[in-house]
Amino acid sequence: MSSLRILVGVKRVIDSAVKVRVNSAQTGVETANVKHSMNPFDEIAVEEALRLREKHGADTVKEIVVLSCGPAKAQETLRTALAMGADRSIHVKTDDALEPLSVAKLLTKVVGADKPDHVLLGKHAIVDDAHQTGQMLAGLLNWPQATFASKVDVNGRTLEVVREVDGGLETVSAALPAIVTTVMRLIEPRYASLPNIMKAKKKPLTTVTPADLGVEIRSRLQTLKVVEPPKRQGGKVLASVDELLDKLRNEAKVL
Amino acid sequence: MAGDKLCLAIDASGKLNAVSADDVKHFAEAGIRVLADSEIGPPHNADMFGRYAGDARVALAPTSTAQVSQVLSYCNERQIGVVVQGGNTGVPGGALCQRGEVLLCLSDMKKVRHVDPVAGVLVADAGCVLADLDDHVQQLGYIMPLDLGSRRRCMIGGNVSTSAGGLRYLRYGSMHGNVLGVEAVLPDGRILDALFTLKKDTSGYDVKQLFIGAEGTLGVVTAVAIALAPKPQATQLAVLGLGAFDKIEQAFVRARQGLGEILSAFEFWDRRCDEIVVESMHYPSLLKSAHEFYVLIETRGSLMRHDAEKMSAFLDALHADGLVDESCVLSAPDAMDAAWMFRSNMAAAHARRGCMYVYDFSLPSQHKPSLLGAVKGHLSSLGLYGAADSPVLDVTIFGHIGDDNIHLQVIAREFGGAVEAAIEPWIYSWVGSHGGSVAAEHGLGAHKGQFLKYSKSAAVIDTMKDLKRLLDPRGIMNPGKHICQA
Repeated sequence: MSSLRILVGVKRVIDSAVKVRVNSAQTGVETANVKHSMNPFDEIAVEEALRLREKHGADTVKEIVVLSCGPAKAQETLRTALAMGADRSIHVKTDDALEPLSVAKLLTKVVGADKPDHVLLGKHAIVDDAHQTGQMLAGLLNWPQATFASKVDVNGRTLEVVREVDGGLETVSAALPAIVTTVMRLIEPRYASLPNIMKAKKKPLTTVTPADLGVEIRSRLQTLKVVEPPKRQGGKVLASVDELLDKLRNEAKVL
Repeated sequence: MAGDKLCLAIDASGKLNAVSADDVKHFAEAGIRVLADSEIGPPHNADMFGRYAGDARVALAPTSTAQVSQVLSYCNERQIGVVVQGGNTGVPGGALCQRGEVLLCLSDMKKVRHVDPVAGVLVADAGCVLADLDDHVQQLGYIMPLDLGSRRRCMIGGNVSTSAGGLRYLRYGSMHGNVLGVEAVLPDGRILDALFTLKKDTSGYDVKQLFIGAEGTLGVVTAVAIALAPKPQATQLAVLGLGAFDKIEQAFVRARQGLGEILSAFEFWDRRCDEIVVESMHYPSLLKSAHEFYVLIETRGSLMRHDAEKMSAFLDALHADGLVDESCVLSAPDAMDAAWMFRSNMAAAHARRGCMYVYDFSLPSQHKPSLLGAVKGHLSSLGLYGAADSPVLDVTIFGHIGDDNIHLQVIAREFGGAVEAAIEPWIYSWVGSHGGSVAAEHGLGAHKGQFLKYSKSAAVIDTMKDLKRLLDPRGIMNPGKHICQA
């Protein structure tokens, strides 16, 4: 089996357990002072890479590199991935707001320099739910993509991926190098043990800037307003069909 | 002898011998470390807020219970006073030498003897620093059941001897509940091994309880067995801004109901406290606007999602009912640390502003709201507060409101004089007559023993004195302080 290098993209997001609140300016959610952690789908992606290595051996999966784009605190997330078992990390440092296209462009440059055989990404980040970065990256690199993967396996230079689709499960194969984006099913990401957290501090962490990579970060989207969804109203028990028709016509206005 | 009345006055300080050079020689020959003069300084002879002064001339640092026993035997024989000192972070100056006593420093007795990871029990020497013990047990998935602002300096022996309260009393309870066993040396040198490590033991008088809160007056605590608390998996803080004192109490009742078992701290402070911390410590205020009162709530649990849900519902209801004017939730570790730093350094911030008189009262609910007004009114009526050039600069309250415990601060331009005479004993009398305790968690220390009568009956005080006479007939332990003043 030829040896592979896997690149996994991870993102620091508001922790999934936090109850987010819209900020007073209605421009976004409150991020100050709330707990942040690795995007849950990215945890799965890291875990997938680690399991591929455990299954096929270190000769086949010779290196797992993690990457994150973002401000200084993104390094916390990279350290978590290193503590889970990744070998080295790359921090693309920027304080600018990053849209999926910008991230895809940054990743394109890193892939060009680092030449991994396989890129694993979470299918979306729970911040904006965009589901775009993996697909845009595949487009920019002209690589095959297998999205919404619940199972990944490698056989020589071919990936076999089980995808979750509306009709059920679809199995596809793709030639490496390829992009895979992961869903939440089936595998539990491992916890980083205290000894591994200590070891992670010694693993390499390289910092680069978008300028180093020759990428200009531009925002093409402007958020106009962010509001909370309307509070859920209780259900009503109706007395007759006439009442139902009346409500559908006059209150819900669907007839 | 039977029939003889044990009639030593409870205050033996007049009869004791000051420690001498010969005594120092004896200790050195016995292999007990004697601190050099250059080693004895402000950490030993001043309290944290500069109100009291000690003048220890001879300080010993034993390394074992056996050595402590030797020291006490000798001092009992020669009628030399002994003051025990741990981190010397006690607020009312109970660990200061003021009458020519020997200072017994336990800082060299700092071994962790044993941790039982299944039962969650720690046995440690009295000189172990609280923060070090916390770090140690965290590796096993536990935390110490108490936390104080002075955690990096205070020692567990002192925590036991002062029955320390602190920031998490609300959740983990008092030292009387968490201490499972004590090893102490009695004033005559006998070693009392009451180091039991099991949680349930109803067999005879619970002797260890005497030492919890005894402030070194009944013997030297040399080791402690303490029940640990499980390390929380999920922690979050909420900061509230409120307009009136009674809203704090309503918020507390709702917190107890709505947050229930995950509630772990409920602290409050007033507007002036907030300003003083911002001015003296240069920490930013935790909320965007200024409020009459602030509340800091902490929850600890085992599932973040569950706790976040409860907190969200609790805060929504407070806002909907107009009980709070502003709130924020903190779950990022550095934000939570900053909030606790703000609250923990409140006393230190006051001490920087001026000469701080700090009082520590428990008061029943119906009387808490009137404390601040009563003190300000009293001081104003004597012309000591209210004008720009008044001798009293500030009067503030903050504390563990969830435990009915309020700290009252009176900041004066200097210690002593008219201000001190105006506050004491007036404030103790006020608190006593309103059903409160004159010392909720700080203890009696160097001079509060004389005010004990305002919250304890004569019969209770007499029983305390009987116990003191029984265990320390020569009155060598912490003479002239504590119950000796009552």
